[in-house]
Amino acid sequence: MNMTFELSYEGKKRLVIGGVLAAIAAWIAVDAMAGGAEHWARVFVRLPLLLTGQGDGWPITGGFALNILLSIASMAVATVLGTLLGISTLAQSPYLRLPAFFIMNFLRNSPWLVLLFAMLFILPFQVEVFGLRIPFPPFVKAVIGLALPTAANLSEVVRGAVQSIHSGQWEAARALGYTTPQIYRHVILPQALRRMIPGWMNLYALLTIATALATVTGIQDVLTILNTSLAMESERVLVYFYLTTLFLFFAYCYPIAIFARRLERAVKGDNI
Amino acid sequence: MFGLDYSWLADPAYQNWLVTGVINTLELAALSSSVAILIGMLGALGLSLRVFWLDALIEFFVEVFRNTPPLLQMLFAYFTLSTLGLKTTDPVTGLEVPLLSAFACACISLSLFGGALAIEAFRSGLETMPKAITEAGRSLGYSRWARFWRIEVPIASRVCLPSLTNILTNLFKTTSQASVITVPELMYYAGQIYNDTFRTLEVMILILIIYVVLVSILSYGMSRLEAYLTLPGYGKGQ
Amino acid sequence: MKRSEALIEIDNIHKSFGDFEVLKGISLSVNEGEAVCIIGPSGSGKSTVLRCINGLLPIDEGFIRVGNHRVHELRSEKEMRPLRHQVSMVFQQYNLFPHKTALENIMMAPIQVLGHERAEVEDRARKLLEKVRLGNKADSYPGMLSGGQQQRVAIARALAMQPEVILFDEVTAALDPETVKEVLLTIRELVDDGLTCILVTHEMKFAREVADRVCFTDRGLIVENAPPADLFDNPQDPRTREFLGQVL
Repeated sequence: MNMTFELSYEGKKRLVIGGVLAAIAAWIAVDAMAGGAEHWARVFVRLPLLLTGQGDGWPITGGFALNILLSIASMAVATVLGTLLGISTLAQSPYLRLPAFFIMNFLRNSPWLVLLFAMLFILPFQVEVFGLRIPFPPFVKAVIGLALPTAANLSEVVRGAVQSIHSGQWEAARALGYTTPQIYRHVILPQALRRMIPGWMNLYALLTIATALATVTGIQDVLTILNTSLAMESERVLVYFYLTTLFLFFAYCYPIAIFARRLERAVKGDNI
Repeated sequence: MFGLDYSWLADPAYQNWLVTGVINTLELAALSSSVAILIGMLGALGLSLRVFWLDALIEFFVEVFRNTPPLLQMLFAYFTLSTLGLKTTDPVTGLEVPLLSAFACACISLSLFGGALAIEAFRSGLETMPKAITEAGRSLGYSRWARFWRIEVPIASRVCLPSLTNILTNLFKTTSQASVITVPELMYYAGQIYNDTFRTLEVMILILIIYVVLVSILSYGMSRLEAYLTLPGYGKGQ
Repeated sequence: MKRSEALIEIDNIHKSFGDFEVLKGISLSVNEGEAVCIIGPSGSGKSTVLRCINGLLPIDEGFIRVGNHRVHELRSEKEMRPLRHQVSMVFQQYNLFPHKTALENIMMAPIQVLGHERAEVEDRARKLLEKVRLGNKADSYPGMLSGGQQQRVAIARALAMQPEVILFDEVTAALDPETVKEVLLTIRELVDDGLTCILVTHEMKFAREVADRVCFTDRGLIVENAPPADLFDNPQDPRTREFLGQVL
């Protein structure tokens, strides 16, 4: 048999992307030989600081790990808030629906950075409940500041998923005597959930990217470290630090985005 | 009201800052949106040509810009491009200054970020194009270029208008991050004002409301455009 | 027939969607153990009547009583719930819950809504599945069943609520001709067992065989209401004659 390498279109594309990556690697190698190796050595030495906020990598007090922690905490808060908000925008009662719509649109139309800044000043340093002092450190403020716009975006995802459930499901459940909360719990949300997952994951990637903004709250996230602890490095070395940080975000978010897209296609495929 | 002090708003200097900030924000948003749309269209056209190496390069560009923080992109453009040699000598002072101003850096990096998002939107718009339409265009003797501009873009742009609205509002909101690299837009002046007046809470609430109003106007305008351009019986949840 | 004996009593109900008046004064009563078929051209308001009886649609004007429930006076979903326990409904599109198996679909509402004992409900559900001849499909998801099978599960689901009356809304309209038969057979057995039901249907032959009474509706009114033999063989109203002439 005649062996020829017939590559598919996707295969050729992957080959080119591989080529691009190889070119970047080659450029890095050439640059390293021209003196860049020294800079990379600096990056390597300081990498634990960039990742964990500590020079020797433990305990974790900041850095990129803090960004991830922040994204997880914010997403948890946003998931609860966003689901409630999304369902509220579908409520029968205008007293619930209209305020929910207003809040959703307000949050959706405010810039993340401005909202984060505003939360910094709107939220108190601490609240006192029955003599119990609950402090609001910058981290908590950052969590809330990032969770609010995420929740607004998520409420749109929830809304869309709930609306995509065939109206016959509502009718059937109502005819069986279910209450509205019961219908959501037993019939609608279990079905809507799988349609929400891709949107939820996309939002999580978006939120992780937005954690870069949390530097304005003064927490020791990767950008704060870049701009403070590493500021004494030479300008030239800083370029390498920036590249490394960009790569960290990319390496974390890209796989999530890819996975979300796969799921999206899978969900679109089934017509239940 | 609510114990908030807005008396500083009476000062013409602050009024001036706010107005300048809004104008600069609008300028930055308008410029980067236009370039982003252009990049989006060209990128989508490039993808529709089905040339594997072009496809690969565009995909690489899109993924890099979509999956990294725009703030970091801007900082990178601002701090490091000058380090990497994009410098010029000021003829008056004789000092070395970055070739690109903060505004230019913000504009370039926002355009690229928005452009990456727009390519995705236009691509999915073109993908929903019924095959029959492309075939009809081809059998009428349109060239690839003419088919793209005269048939596909007018149809696809209507389909992807909702996602384009999202991208443009998103881009508008992202312009506030340019304040970090000292572009004198609205958010930057907010900082200037509260550094002056110490009325942080009042200033931030006002700025937040101004942004929400501006973005709401933009998204309302886009929804009107959508309604105006709707083709009877085409698109809409099919 | 004395009015007070009727299980369902409908008097002069009106219902509009926007400017379009779908029901223009429908009156009907159904006794216990009676099977009433509603026939008529599409758009004549047949399905709307059913949805008004169990409160899925509020009426604009008129009187509806089911057992002790005065439906037209029920204002909220909360007040409707006891009514819905007595009145079950089977839909044209089956409307099974796709994320639950056939058995779970039948068991859900009795457990979650009526608060019945799980073991007892499961026992009941399995018997009902046997009754609709789907005993071997208990663990199948709706997506794995044919239209006719899904519809029979839906009937079992309605029966599991132990209602006093079941409303059938064009239950065979979305089915393949060959599966229509099995669904009709199931319904006929239930009627023979003494189930009270109102059926909206396009199956004239079935209506004739199974119904105690047939109502012909046209443009929001009940034009004729008679035992099947009379209505089909000796229609009084010219509109009934015209309709039957077209479909038979």
